[in-house]
Amino acid sequence: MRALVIWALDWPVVAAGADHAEPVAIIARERVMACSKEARRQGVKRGMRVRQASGRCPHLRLLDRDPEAETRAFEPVLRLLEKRIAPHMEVLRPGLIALPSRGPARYFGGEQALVEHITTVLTDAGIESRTGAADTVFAAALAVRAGQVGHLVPAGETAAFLAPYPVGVLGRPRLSQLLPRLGITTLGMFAALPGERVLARFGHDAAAAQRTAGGLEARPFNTSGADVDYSVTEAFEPPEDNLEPVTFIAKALAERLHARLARAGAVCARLQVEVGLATGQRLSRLWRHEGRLSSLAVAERVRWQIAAWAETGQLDAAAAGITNLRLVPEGLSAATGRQSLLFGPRIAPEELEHAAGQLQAMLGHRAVVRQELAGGRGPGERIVDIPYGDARSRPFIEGTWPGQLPAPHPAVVYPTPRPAQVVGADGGAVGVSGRALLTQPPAALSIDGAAPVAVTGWTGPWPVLEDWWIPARARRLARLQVTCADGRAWLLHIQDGRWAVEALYG
Amino acid sequence: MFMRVVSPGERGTPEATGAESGTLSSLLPGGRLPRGAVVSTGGDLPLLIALAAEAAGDGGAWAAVGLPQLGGLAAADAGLDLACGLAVPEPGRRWPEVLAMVCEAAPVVLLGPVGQVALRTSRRIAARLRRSGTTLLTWQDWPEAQLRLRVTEASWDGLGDGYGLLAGRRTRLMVVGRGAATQLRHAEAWLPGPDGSVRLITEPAATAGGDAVPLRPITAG
Repeated sequence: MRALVIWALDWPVVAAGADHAEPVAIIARERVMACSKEARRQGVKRGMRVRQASGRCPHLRLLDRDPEAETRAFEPVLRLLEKRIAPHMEVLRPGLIALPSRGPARYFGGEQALVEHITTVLTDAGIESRTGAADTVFAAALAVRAGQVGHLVPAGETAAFLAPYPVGVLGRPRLSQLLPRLGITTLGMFAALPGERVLARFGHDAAAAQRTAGGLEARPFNTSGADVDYSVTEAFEPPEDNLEPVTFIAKALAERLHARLARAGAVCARLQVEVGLATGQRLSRLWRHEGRLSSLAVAERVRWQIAAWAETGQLDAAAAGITNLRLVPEGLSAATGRQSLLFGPRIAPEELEHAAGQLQAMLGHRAVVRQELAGGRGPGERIVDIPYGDARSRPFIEGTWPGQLPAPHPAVVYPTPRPAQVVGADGGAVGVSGRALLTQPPAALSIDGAAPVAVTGWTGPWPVLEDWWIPARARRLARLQVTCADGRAWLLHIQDGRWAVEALYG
Repeated sequence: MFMRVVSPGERGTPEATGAESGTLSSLLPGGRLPRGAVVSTGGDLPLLIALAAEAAGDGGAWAAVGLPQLGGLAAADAGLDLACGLAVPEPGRRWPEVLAMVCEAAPVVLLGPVGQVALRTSRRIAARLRRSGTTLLTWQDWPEAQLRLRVTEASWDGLGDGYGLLAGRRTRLMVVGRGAATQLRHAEAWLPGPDGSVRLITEPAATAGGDAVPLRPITAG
């Protein structure tokens, strides 16, 4: 699919109503997000810290980013383009829009003519813009920044156009750290890797990124579910003439949509926000989704959009109330990423996974683990360490384990039991008889050859006979809980006549 | 909105900050664990686990560095969510690097015994913590800890001479902080209690004449 991307330059600055002749910078998260021409001339750059920018340009006027205002100011531009160019526009973010170029290009007599026409229309409206085209939206968004006025990548040459870009442009922090370490610095090199290996080593998200790098759509389109309607609607009865409740309902609606898509195992490429009015009129706008927006992010976009319509006078809720709000997913494809909804919200945070990846690159795959509950009797057996990122080999089956120790559980579980001596009142070693009884009450405990400590209480022994059907793994032992005069409590076991400390309760 | 008038002497105490009574936090100055600082636990792993559980909260991320002996069952019982945890059991001599990376990702980090810590290393770690807002809970005494907790007395309930089962550990805790929190505080706590959870037995009490408490152990010479 041929895609055309239109970029309105310095949109946050324009939307803020600032003049390019004065030094202005738009700030988001303590960094410069956009700046005026005058500020740029004085050395302010995008991504710079506020302090550094102010240092270079002392008279710099700082403005906070206001995405709502950006959307609002962008709405008239969109309407103009819809009227003059093509009816089907997709908002990537305020200031950046994509449209399928095939139809309009044919109408206007070629892509070059289309681009010229768009530039004329926008220049007449007083908006400075650039246009880029390529075989995918991603490549077109890069092409729009190439050169002085944007670049039209000829059909079929998208992969070659993308090849020299660094992997960082993919916007995947984990990949852009890992790949350069493997000597893969450009999109071309990444695209040249065997696809199935990338999938096996880095997962589905990276496989999608690799398709993007190779000039293909990130996810192969899937038409099997195209006839099913996954849209969600909230009707307002009587028509709502206040905007607040409508934007409030948007989050719940987005959650419902995501739950529905997750059940169907699908993600959408675009999301259409549609508002029905009491007059029968419908307003709609497409937003890029790619399965990467959270419910909150969707709700945010709905809020911006509704505010923008209200501001530009298309939506006058007081005159004609809102009868429904509808979210329609478009461009469905199979969801291959992790579906957190299926596993519940208790998934390790993304930063943790990222750090685990870094640590594994430094210390080796097995050095970073997470713990999971498992079946077993001893405290050491009931927890398994799984290398981070691996799925466990055997599923955890809840079973009954006779002889399992109840809570409280020991805080210290030694990876390998420490040798110990248990002696009776007469100084002789304590043993366990064939009838699972102690030969004499324990009086003192010595661990790792340290000085013996008096035993103040003990209980057990509990015999354990495990895996007797596999001779190599069969083991027979007896466990004993012991408290000592120093206030500590230990879990001991005796196996083949030798005592060992398995765990320390505290 | 309902507001309580807090007298100057009361400010910073758990009663003023609204920490839930009965939790370990209610024993701490300010009623909560400090963020971006080090808290040492004097070599007591149950205490370390209990503090981590309170700091991480429900479903909060945590990481353990250099604790191969960490008992996962006890940690889960105390309230740490194993699914949100990451462990580097044997970081070896590169533990400061590992710690630095982990601090960026998890708001609560547990650090096992690492031996003598050079002043330079501990300063660098302190700077890193301040930047990331991570709470570092150390097993061993830490030279520049914001808060120092210690189990001064402990005894286990439940075991007789050949009968019973371990039921719970009664401990006496001591907390001393730096700066405004130099007053020594004591409390008795189940660490852990009969069901594996942690709670205070007595309300925390401050020792009179807290100014006299030495910040560092006094050693001869």
